[in-house]
Amino acid sequence: MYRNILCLVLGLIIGIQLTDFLEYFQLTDSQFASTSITQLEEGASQLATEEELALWLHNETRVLCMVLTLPKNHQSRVRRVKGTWGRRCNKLIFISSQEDRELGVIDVGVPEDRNNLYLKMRKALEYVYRNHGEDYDWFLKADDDTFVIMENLRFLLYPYDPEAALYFGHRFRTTFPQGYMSGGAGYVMSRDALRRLNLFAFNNSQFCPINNNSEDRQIGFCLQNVGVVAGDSRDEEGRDRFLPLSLKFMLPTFPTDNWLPKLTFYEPVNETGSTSGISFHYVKIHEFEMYEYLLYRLHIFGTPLSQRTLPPRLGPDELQNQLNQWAQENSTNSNAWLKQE
Amino acid sequence: MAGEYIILENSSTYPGFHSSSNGLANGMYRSAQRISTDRLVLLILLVSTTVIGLFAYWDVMVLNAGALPLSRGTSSVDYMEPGLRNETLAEKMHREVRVLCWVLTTPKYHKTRAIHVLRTWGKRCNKIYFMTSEPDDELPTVVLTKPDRYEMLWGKTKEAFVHIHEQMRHEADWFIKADDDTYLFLENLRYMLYPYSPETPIYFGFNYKMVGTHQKNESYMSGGSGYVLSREALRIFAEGVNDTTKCRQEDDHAEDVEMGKCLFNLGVKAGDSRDEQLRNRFYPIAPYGALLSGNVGMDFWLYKYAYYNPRSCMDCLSEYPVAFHYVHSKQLYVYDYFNYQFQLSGRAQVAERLPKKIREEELVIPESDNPVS
Repeated sequence: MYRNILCLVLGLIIGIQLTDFLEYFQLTDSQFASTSITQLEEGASQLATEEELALWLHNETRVLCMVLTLPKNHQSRVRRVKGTWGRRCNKLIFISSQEDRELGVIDVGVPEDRNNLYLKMRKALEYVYRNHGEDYDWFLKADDDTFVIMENLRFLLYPYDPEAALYFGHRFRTTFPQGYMSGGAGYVMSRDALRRLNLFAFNNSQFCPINNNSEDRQIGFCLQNVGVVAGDSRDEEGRDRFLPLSLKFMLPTFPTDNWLPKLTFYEPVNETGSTSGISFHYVKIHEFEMYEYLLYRLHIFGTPLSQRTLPPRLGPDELQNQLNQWAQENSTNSNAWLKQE
Repeated sequence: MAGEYIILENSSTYPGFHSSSNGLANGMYRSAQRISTDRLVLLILLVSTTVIGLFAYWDVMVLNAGALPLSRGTSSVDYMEPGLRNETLAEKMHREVRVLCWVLTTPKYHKTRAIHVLRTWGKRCNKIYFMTSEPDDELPTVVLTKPDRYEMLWGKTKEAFVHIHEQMRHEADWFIKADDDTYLFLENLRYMLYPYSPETPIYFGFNYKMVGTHQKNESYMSGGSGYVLSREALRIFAEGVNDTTKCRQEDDHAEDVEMGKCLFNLGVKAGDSRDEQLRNRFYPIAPYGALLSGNVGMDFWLYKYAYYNPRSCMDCLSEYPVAFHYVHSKQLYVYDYFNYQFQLSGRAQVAERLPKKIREEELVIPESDNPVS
């Protein structure tokens, strides 16, 4: 009996120590690896982290970009979108009335006219759904005078399931309760939202009538009628990330002397300039390269970039709660309404 | 009990052995058995305790060793003083390369231009003063005596620099003049200036070829994108500006040209502000002008007058620009927003090091290489 107890104690001790040994070996191994990387190249770890995150996210949250344009802008704006922010889309398609294969412009067969914008957009959405509807997670609509920060767009979209019926943009209020997203600031819809539009809205003249109304408002009406929820794209401090005006009007404070404070859905926050801004509108032709340079090339010496962590993915219950909350939301804007015909 | 059992076995097998030496053999055997068992137990306990102790010690050593490299690994800059581990390189430079900014403005632009300079890049100067003709409660102004006319720019500039030398020369190492439609990146300016001693008589800006009758290696700095004088250059200028043989005494004529002539005659060197890849860091235009290479032919005015050979393409813009000109007041906030507020994971982070200090005798300023005339 003496011997048995002795063997038991000894065995336990050896087992525990072996377990500790294995654990610390793994920990030490990773630490040493980290140390050696650091010693080889200072700052390399942060460099790898940030760039790898952007690259990984590029493939994890796939965005197809539809850019509405006109033939006269093919050689100016289209070329600049293609050479700047458009490069960071997973797929880039220009929607026009004349085809240009070299630039990736398709003709949807709608003559150019301000009253035809809505019809043109419908044709674009039909084309994209037929050809790419199941290949991407999110579908961004932009104009050829929009500049989009694709990395920050993916940060916004990452937590959400593309199979949820959801879309984001700069939210405007109007006569129907959900409102709509500004066309110029760009809006992005999930795969399911695009599917619902094409399967249940476009062939239903009650849900989605064809008329001469403005494109963004009408698309918003159609999306609402097939149960697509308008998501809140503002940052943690309530600042807008999609800007329906140019930066010159949106910085450093929210404009008070034009139509925007009357039309926007949420109560305006005075201090603008979200640190994770996504889109800007009314971008001049020369500003595309300027923004590209200021954002991606220019460095401020000695100022390390702050690292960000991805927000967590929402589980099915959390997502459903969020969608319900957004679906029931009312405008918080306390300004007088914009008069509309 | 086990021992006794064995003894009984032996007894039954060999009766003769048992009967002859029963007492002695039995006693000795039992004693040996007991001692051996006790020793074994003690030995095992001792070894186990030692092993546990060693592992504990090893754990502590591993944890301690692991902490420091990780802590250093989070730093993105190579050079860092031991006692100031949490200070960024930009903050260190803010202390070590002190820059006094003075901005030439006029009362009609106080509210539309100057105040926006103060709210954006101006707050990153060590000191900033607005040279104007009327005081303003919202701005740190210095009221000059010269009248407010564009043709008096040279006079105002002289007065401003002399005033700064007399009143403020101890507040900074470098003294930069800018317009109220200039944007300055102070961190990149300090990075550019770091290798040079403020006791070197030198100044920097965007180098233009000298106009009029001049010597071959003579240049002047664009007034619009600003120029920065070392403390020694400032002293030389303030003490020599009244020399009629070297500096124009009248208050008219282009401020930047006259400044260039004056400093040249006083022996202040016109430094080369370009980066290691010979790209300009001071730009007398806004980025879009330099960027749109497709829209700019070789007859572009900048190419003709630049002292150093300019090349207009995307890769010819420095990653560490210091100054841009013709920046509208609203656009100042765009620059601030994109470069000081914006978070962007696609922006490449580079390992940054401070350049080596340059002694005055090692200073080499390249000659003009722009053949266009």
